[in-house]
Amino acid sequence: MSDASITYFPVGNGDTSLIRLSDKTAIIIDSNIRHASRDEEDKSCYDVHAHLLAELERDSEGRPFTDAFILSHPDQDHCRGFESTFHTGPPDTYKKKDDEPEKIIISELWFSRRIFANFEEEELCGDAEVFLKEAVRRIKLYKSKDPKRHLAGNRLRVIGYGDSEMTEGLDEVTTPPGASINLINNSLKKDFAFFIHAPFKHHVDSRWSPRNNTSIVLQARFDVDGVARASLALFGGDACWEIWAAILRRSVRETLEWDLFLAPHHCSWSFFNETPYEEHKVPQDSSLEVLDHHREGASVVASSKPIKDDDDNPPHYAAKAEYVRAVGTDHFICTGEHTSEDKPLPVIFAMTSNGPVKDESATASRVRSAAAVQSSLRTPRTYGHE
Amino acid sequence: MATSEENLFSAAYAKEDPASWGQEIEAAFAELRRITGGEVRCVHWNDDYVAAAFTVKVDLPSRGPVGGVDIRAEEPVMLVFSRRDYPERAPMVRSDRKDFPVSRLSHLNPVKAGQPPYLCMHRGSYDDWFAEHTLEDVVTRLRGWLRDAARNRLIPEGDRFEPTRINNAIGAAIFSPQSFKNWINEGWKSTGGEPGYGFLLMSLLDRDKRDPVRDGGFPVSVWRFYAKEEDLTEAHKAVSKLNSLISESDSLAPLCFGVLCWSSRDLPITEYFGQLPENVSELLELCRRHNIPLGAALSDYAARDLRQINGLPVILGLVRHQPLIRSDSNIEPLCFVLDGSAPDFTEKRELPEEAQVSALIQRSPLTPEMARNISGTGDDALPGRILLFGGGALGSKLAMHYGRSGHTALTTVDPANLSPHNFVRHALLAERAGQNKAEAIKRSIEAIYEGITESQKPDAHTGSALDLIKGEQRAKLGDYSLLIDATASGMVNEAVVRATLPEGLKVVRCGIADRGKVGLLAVEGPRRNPRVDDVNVLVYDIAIDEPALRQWLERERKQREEQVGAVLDEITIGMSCSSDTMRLADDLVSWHASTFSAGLRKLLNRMPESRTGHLILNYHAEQGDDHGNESLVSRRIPIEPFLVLPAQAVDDWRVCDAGGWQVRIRSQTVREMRERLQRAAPKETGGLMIGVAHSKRRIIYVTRIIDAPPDSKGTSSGFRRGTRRLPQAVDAIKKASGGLLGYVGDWHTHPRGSGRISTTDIKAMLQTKRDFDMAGIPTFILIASHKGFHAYVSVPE
Repeated sequence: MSDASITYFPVGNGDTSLIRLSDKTAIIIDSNIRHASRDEEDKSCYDVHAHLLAELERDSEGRPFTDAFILSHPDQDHCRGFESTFHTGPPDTYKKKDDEPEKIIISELWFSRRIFANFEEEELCGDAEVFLKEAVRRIKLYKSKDPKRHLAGNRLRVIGYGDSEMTEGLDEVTTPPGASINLINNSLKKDFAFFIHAPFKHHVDSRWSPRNNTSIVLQARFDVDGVARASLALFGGDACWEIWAAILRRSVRETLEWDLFLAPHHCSWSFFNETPYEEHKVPQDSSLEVLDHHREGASVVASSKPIKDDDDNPPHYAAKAEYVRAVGTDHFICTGEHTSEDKPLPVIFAMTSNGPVKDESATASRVRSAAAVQSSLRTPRTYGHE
Repeated sequence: MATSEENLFSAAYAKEDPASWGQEIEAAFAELRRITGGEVRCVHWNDDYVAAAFTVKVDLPSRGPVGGVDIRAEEPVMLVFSRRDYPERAPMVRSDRKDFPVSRLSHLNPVKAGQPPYLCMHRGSYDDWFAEHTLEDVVTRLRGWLRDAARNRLIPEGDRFEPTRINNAIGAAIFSPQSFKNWINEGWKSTGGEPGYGFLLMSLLDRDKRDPVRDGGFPVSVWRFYAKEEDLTEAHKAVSKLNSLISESDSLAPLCFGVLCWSSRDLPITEYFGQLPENVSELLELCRRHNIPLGAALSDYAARDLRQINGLPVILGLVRHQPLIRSDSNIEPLCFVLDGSAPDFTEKRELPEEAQVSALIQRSPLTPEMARNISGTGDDALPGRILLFGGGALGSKLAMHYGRSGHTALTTVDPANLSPHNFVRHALLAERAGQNKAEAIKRSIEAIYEGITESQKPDAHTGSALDLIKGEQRAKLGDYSLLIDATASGMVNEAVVRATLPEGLKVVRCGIADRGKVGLLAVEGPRRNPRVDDVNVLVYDIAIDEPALRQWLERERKQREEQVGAVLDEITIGMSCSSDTMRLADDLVSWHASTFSAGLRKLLNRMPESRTGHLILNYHAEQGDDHGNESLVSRRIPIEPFLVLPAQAVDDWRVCDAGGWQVRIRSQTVREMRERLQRAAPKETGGLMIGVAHSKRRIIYVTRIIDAPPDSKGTSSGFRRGTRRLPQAVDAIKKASGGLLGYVGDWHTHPRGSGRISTTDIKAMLQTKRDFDMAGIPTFILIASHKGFHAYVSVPE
């Protein structure tokens, strides 16, 4: 047994979070993974892929794997690097290539059916196309009742409803909003569950709903040392204020409480009101009410580049001010600034029976060292005398 | 909540100037200011110790500490440094808060009343841990300690109750845990599970302690228990008679009666004892808090006139809420000896409140099984006088091999006393119980012989090895020709590595690992090159090609990873055998000791003409005979001197001092790099270096190279180090060395011109530094030219 934790990676304006449970189960939510050593544009880029390889467990064949990968919605800043980081295709086709970092097997793939929407105005980026192809492959196994569908690397879970052409008949692996689930990668968790808030059916099916508003919204619930709901974390992708207002109307208090809140859409103003900000400067009451559901000592994490006092959105300076008003300066953390803008490092919280605590364990430092060496070895270096 | 000035211990301590406490301590204060980014006050602790008082930030659970324990977001703390022994001796970690919640926290060393709470930072030897770590690691661990206290994780979930730590015991109470459990259960039967008391019959093991109880060495062995309802008249008569008979003896010690009290069977005690009682009043108060009838027991003791000697042993049995660590029982024994010399004790039936109380360590008795001594004899004489650090299992056997073979000119250094469990593996036998190990070895060697000349007499030093390396005895080092470190102590090893020693003193270090399957003895070369640390690092490299060593390092790696919270980043070769939980058979220790003893004797005879150091490596080889028996292998491997380079740093595109960093490269690796340089010239070439970066010592050890991968390219003006299969090659080495060896840097050649770093090199180095700084590890490149080697090291900012 180890302490459950959440790691929010510094990935600029985008999301990549890793949930670890007490039994070492790993759940990755979204991917905005760039390669540090190859990203000459962004010198401060943290090598998330190398970190994951150093931290994740290995299967019996020595292949790194995550128990689940949840795609909140198929925008590029939530699935960038999916193709280069994760293995797709049948798990028995996994191959290690000499010159590339190992890919990670996704035991169970989670997504909503919006990924199958075929609206003309919505093109998928390359990584989302790869994700879609993988989802379709797994769906086919389920629909054909192929026994291989139960193997790690083929499993899936649909968040939403099974009444579209692509997802009908998948009831055994479909979880609708308003339900909680503690079955992850075929294992029932005794001290963890997700409560699913969104996406709502009419948004998923409407061509007029922007993809941000079809984000999967989750409350992660951790029980610690026998204390139920000891630590609570909300993840909401890029959902805007209207979605949150609808969630507020439909939900009871306990499903909305939070100790950790991943600021939607990378600390964008869209969580508080319509954009542009200049025309809608007053936050919606519903958004403030969502924030009011925080418990004592709660923190907001903005997964974004550093937040400046300018007109950028996201991240948005006035949005940050609203969050700070809700939780205080010490409890607002921007991943692009932690612990410095030059060299941002992952924000890690360990779950305790009295709420999350920021973690600086030796394990985290060892994982960072291993990741740094791997990153350097994969990069050519040019030397020469003068 | 900030802590007010009047609530700080340090507010009442005199101010000091770190500069007047020596360079090491002054540097430590500067380092602490850098680490904490805040004020670090220097205050007087005592004449030998100085304290750094400062505040650390503690990450608390979002709704405050679990269970409401009073740990704060900003905790005032003190690190207390020894003037003489820092940095070998780790700084003590104290809370500076007078209201620190001592009674609710485990992992505290008991202190005297009114002294700052003393945080226990490591399950094993904290000094040994610090030998491999930095002050920054101490502060990080301290913050972790406080964070764990706030999250109720000082004792990991599922772990057992940590018994009270006894640091200042004046002796031992010897009885088996099973007997103890039986006595208490018998007692509960008589009291229906309620608190109660009875009496114990004991024998004093050192007759000289019959009268005084104030100074050290009060070992008692418990024989039997009497419930208070029992009639002790006959026993009392028999004991009195026996004591009167043996009072004339020079060697026999008297019997005595003690008191056993126990707490309620059904009300576990959760209090941790950050302070242990020092007088009868405090002990009675502790017992009152938990309804333990010690007062009644003492009164009854006096009424029955059970006093035989001045010391009055009292054992408390305290019921805890979970089993104790390394035990299946939840009853914690707390043992004391009371000064029962008050003349009116029998009349008044109570002891004076101020009568002294001292703690005894509970020790388990030796099992009847006694190991055979081995005898090692040899014709080769050892040169000069031997200084032996460590009179434990391995040290004592080496000492006795040498002692028995006639080499009596040997000084053993060991501050510890012999406990019963030591005799499973120690060279000496049980009649030495309670004696100092060094003294016991000296006496045992003396006892073999008669008429040893003065210059050949064995000697003993009952203090620390540091007394001889750094302290007042340092001048005596010139009397010795051989120093053998058999302590398995990281602290002593570190001190030996750092010390400037007399030229004629040959240094040897030996140890046993992997539950006795592996033994290592390192002999330094001329002018301390190779040094013992070079040889130790080389062992990891040898493991890459040797399955037995590989498996050992892999097991060590797993153990390190499982010990969450007590992780050693590197392993210290050799393990301490002084613990009663260490599983290691005496015959294995003897095997290692005999090969070391005989091997060392041979090596030292040839040493005058030898230009190398040596490694004696013992292990169980996989391939045995046709019957599946393992082979025991003992190899003697010459180790050539290492190339030692002072490193330079690059700052803002300029070469500058690297703050004392040094690079030490195995000679074979140096030859390989030179050969690559010659072969590729006039083109440049290069590759990776494998080794260990030791931040505490500021040394990077290089044990091998990995050649440039096929996608590399060398021209007459540059070298591009490719990447193909490099991660896999490094991973394979890392795995084979149990994670101890890894990539430490790139090397390349400058076949034309000097080995000075170029702007292209600096650019490449800065690219690597970007990754490595994030991970907190040093960036290192090496340039080989026909004129020599140049090392450049940059540490994280």
